[in-house]
Amino acid sequence: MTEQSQEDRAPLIRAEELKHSFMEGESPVHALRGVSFEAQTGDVTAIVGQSGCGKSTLLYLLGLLDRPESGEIYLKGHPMAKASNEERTALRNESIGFVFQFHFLIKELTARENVALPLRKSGVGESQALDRADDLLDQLGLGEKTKRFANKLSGGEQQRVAIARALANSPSLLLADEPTGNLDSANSENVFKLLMQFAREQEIAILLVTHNPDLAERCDHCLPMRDGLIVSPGES
Amino acid sequence: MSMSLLGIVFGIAFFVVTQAQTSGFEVFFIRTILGTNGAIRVSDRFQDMEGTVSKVSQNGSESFVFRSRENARYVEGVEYPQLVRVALREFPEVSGISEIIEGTAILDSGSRKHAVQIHGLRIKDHIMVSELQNQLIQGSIDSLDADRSGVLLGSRIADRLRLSQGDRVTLIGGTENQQLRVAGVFETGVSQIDKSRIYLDLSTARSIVGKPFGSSLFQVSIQDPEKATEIAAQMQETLGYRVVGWQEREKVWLEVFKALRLSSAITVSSILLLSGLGMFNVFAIMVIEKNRDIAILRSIGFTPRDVSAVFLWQGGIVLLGGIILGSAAGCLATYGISKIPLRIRGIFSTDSFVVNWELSHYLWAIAIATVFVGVASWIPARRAAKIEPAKIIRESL
Ligand SMILES: Nc1ncnc2c1ncn2[C@@H]1O[C@H](COP(=O)(O)OP(=O)(O)O)[C@@H](O)[C@H]1O
Ligand SMILES: [Mg+2]
Repeated sequence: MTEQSQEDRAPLIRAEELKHSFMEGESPVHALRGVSFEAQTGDVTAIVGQSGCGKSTLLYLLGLLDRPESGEIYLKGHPMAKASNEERTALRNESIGFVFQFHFLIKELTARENVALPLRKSGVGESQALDRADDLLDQLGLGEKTKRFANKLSGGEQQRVAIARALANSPSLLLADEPTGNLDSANSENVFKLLMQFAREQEIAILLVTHNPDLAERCDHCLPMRDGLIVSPGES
Repeated sequence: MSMSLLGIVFGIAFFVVTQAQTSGFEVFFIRTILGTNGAIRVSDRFQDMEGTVSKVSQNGSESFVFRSRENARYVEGVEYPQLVRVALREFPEVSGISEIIEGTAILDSGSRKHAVQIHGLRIKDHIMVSELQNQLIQGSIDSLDADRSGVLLGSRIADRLRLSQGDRVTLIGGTENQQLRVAGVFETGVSQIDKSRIYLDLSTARSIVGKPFGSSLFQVSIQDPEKATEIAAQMQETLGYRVVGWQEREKVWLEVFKALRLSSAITVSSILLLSGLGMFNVFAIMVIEKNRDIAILRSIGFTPRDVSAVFLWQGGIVLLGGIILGSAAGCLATYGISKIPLRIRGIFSTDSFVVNWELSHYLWAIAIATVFVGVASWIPARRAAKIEPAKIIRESL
């Protein structure tokens, strides 16, 4: 590797000894017991493991929705664990995209209005935001349905709208929590391909929680988790 | 939400209408009593002369010294009217002074008799301190002025004795009887006055009452009747006579009106309170129902402030709609009510609802609605802002 390419491969996000627990009644549930890893731009990393092993918890910490009990998260080299709420909220808007298992669209809004939301928040004018939304939806194969209300779309279509929304502000990190978990195999394949394509084309680091070993295999990296720990970080 | 809007519209409209009515009647009552018994009345000299001369000169500037009159005793009537009149003229605010002799007598129409309260006065003076000119329903001021044996009768006396302008009557006093001619009939609207009072010339009254010197009281008008209380206090100190402004004289009625106005304001505000509660309910449910949407918005970078703004906006729009529609409805209803026929006699006289157009009624209604709607949307808005997105998202998976 040349020096140049090494600099390019500096991690976009790095987790250091992340620990997190929940109180269930009197006793604490240790959801994460010290997770460390890093991910580069353009890489798709699969996070796999049994239900309850802490995958979602990890994603919410990385997505700045929750704060770790201990440990640190570096986003583009900046420590995030103790950053102000304002800074973290702004970063969620500018640099991070979320896709959840259930599509979490606002059903009173059309597909394009849903996609335009993060843009509107970051100050883009209405017509410009809607244009960009139409553009993205078109790329995701929904060019015909941009003006449909979110709840008038099929599951696979809704998930693609959610991806478009996550990508709207050109984030550098996309976090997807079982995005294909609720879809049939054809739609799963479709959504997965789109994610891979965006990661390559737009230099986005994607962390993908999945139960599908087939999809995990096709990612650049795989982080198997068990009981709140990454068991053997390796490349697929 | 439309129920809350309707409630606010009704609340504001009702508030405005009830205030317009109660204050309308109050204003009308004040106008009646000012027009009948005047702004200030000077009567009864204080017995102790201590402190009666209280206008003191200090370094060339004049000032008034006030002393408590709580335990003072009075001598009935005004002994030296000329002196009092001169002293009253010293007050720059005074716009009219009418000297009055009071007494009682029996009015005899030939077929019937009626006990009356005599008010002997100089009619040209008296029209300066009252609305007598406008209260005349028969006859004229000039016809009384021209005729020393003329008399103006309260409307109910005239009705009772079936008298009208030009009729001859006998006034039976304590010392002597007088033949008089009805010069006119007046109606003040205050039934107590309309059924007992008669106006006649000062010197005619003197001989009937048997009081060759002095007089009973002075009725004084001032440029700004609102200042009657303080001017009366100054006059009392300067003159050494009991001087009472209309606010003190009519205190009981004024307080009744005030209580009426306040209680209707409180009652009607409860409509606004209920719509506020309804709105609060709608918002509180909305926060719970929409917590997923709120979590999404938070996850894509909307701030707590953005989230609460959504609720405050909705509240604000409902409030604005309520204010505009409510004020318009209140305005229309006030106009409509002022046209409703309603006969009132007693403390004043009117043949339709009396309303008072006053901006402050609208401002109060708006202020009360704003407070209730503000609280009703602010509390849920705050709750919405506090929603933790991770928790909601985790729970809904
Ligand atoms: N709000 C919560 N309260 C208590 N325990 C929780 C809560 N959320 C998650 N957990 C627990 O934390 C552990 C990790 O959960 P999670 O990260 O959702 O797992 P995964 O996404 O891998 O299925 C589980 O044992 C789960 O029961
Ligand atoms: Mg999970």
